[in-house]
Amino acid sequence: MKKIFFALSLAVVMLGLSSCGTVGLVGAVYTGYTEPAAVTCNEVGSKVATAKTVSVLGIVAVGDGGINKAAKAAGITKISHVDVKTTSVLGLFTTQKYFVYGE
Amino acid sequence: MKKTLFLLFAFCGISLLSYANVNKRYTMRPRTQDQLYFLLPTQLPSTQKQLPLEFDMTYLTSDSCVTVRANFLSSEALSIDSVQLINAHLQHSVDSVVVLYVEKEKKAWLHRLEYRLPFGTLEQFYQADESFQLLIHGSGHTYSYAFKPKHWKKEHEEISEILTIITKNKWLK
Repeated sequence: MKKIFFALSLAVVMLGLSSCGTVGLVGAVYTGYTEPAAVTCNEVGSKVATAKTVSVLGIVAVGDGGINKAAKAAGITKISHVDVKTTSVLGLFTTQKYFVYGE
Repeated sequence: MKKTLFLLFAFCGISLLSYANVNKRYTMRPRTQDQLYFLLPTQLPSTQKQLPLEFDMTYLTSDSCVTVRANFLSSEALSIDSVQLINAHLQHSVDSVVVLYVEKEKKAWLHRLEYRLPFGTLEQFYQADESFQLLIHGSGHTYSYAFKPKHWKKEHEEISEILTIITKNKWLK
């Protein structure tokens, strides 16, 4: 009985933490998907850059996922669109990678 | 309990391993006249006990060259003269290196560079059995980076596969 209670508690904690690490779709065991983050009227440019943020255990979250930083890294001045790829394992280790496209 | 946790982690490991393919290393976007391929950032270890260099590659199928953008740290702000790629059989120098920016990061200087490599030359370097060495020359210093032999096999296989995908889809609209 104690074991079942412990397992259930662990599952609840993991699911609880998973919501700290990700926004949007959440897979309890593994999450990995790409979705649009922003679109403009500009045509798809010839430059791409990435920016990344990382969350560990839903306790520590670091990184600069700013579009400005990514755009600067590739010399982009006209942004066409931004995609974001989210990956998460057990909701404990989550990364969000932003792909900024433009000219 | 231990068994349950072990099975859970084993399942996670298996699902992650099964996902380990080249598709997660690049993105492709169709454009009006061509296709845009972006090879995600990769770390290239230093051979001089410095921090690794990180580079990404962008390729437009209408172009003959690949654009490489790289970050590296040095103890002083450099004036970059050239970038050189060498292996046992090939040597390629790039003199027209664009410095996108130089920033102070803690005690070091972060340089963001952009240079172009012919697609064919890149293919040749990645088809080789041993890693290329990337040399950055600037302000009288040379910074050297290369993949470690144990990592090269995977890198060489995956990037070669991506370059094959690009070549085979190059003329498709």
